[in-house]
Amino acid sequence: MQTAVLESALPFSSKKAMSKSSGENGQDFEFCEVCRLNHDQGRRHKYFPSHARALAAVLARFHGKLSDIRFFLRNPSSLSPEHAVLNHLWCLFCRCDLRELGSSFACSNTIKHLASSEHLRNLKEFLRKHGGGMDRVDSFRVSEAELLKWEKGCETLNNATTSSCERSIGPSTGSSKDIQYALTSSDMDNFEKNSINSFVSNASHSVMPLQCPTNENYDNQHDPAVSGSTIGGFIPHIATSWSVDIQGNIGLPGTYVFGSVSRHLSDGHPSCLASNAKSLIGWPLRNVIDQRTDSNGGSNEVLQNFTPISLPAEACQANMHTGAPPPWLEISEENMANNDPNVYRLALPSSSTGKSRKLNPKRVGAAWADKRRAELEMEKRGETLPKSCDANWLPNFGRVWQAGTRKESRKEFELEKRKLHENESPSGFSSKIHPYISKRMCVRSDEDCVPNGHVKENRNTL
Amino acid sequence: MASFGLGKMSDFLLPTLSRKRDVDCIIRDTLDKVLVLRFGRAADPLCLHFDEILSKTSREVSKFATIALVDVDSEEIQVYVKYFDITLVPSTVFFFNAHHMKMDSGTADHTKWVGSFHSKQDLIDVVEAIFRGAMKGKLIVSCPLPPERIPRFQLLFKDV
Repeated sequence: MQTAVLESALPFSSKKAMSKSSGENGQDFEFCEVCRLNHDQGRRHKYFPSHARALAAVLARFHGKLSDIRFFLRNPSSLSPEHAVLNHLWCLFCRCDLRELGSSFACSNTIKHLASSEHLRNLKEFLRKHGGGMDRVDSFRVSEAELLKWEKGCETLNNATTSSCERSIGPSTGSSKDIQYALTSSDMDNFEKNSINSFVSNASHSVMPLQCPTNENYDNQHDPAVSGSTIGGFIPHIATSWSVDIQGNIGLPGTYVFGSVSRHLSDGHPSCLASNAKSLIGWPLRNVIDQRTDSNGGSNEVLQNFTPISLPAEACQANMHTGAPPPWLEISEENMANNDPNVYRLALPSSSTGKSRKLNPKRVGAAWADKRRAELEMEKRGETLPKSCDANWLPNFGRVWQAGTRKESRKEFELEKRKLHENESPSGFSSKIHPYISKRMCVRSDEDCVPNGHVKENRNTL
Repeated sequence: MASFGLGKMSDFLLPTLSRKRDVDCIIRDTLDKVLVLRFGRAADPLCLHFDEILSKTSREVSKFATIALVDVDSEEIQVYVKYFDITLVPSTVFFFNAHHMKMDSGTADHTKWVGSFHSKQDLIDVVEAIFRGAMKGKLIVSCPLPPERIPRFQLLFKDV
């Protein structure tokens, strides 16, 4: 008997999850999204402890993700396009993937979705179906008040960035004041923890291209607020403390941010960036503001604690900005040029220097091998050898039926060969060797015997 | 001119030597490697089987051995046939740095390996044993194979 499949309007109940057969309890099988199993327990399933445990785990996981989003809800920050691709969230209640493509602020699409009525409806349905308490609805959504606050923050951020871009180079007290206002309007306590995105956004919009050299000869007239030497010593400190702060508190890779810091340090105006960085790290803003509002000499108070690095004049000529290769690559190139012959020699299988060192000097034919190798090298160089290979040359061979040294066996063979050649001379005597015939065999054939007892040689040739 | 003998399913060509000068050169120029000289005929079935194993194994042993085939029917090679006392084919003679290497395999003839091998690994083991012995300065080594895998033959003194 076929059971009609109930199509639920809720998005989180999948159609394929509904089974057509009935279970032992007489109820249709259902697929529980939380427990990820098929059951025929009906509505009682949500009261089972296993389901409660699974639900608690799922909601806790989603709650953790929402906590990150809540930070950006409280601290609106702009989102770069390269990061937009990476950011996405799976909404458990609506069963949809929330991506940040095309959004200009961090978690913009997610925040808007969480504040939507559709999400609220799905959330309520989910909690109703799977349990978990309806009092937790607000913890999984964004209220209208929070959304309004966030939108105001985004608007302020937009205004701040546009105003800072229009300003000239130099310590812009106005922009710093705006940023300060933007920061003070949000939760200042979170700066020590999560200030990366804010820093990046501020840096990308507020830093102007470098128009003055940042070496030790930086003229103070160009930058009345801060001296060049102190800046040179200040920036590394900022960078170092920044990276430490990142790695210690946030756990995100500090390399990217550090890279962005270094990039902006090289391109942007140092004083402006330093002030922003200082404020974002969480240092007391009062110090920065006081320095900005003070006279030009007063702004050097904090900067004087750092030791400036004096670069040699030669270093200014070739550096990464001029496109020169790094010093470690130059050294390696020199080493490669010097070591090439050695490497090539070692790579040769018949190289004498490499092999002779490794091989056992007591191996068989070691002297012969060295001598022959030298001869081959001489031949390669084109030198004529005093002795050429004789056509009658033979290796030392331990023959089967000979006793004595191998040299003796070779001499014996050469003697035999000489005798063979002599025997093949005009005498015509065949030197075929016949098998041994015993006397008994001769006795059997008495007719062949000569009366004087001599055995007639049997000339059976084989 | 050395010709190259190609096994049926071999992926490595083995040189076939038919002149004394080529054999002399290969013996003299193979340095710090075992030289495996197979004396036999291309038409002989046992030689074909042995050549197959040799060609398949040549790559594995290429770092410590060189393999070459010698045609026993060649006129120039007869001096080597007589010098090495080759009466049965295939016969394999081993050299290291132009020095003849003997192997005690329990047979009557320690100067050469008579017959083929059961598998590639047997050949590799034998060549490796010879190489190791040669590197230690030994001119005669023990055969690493078990007796059942060593081909037996009767050695006749001058055809008797």
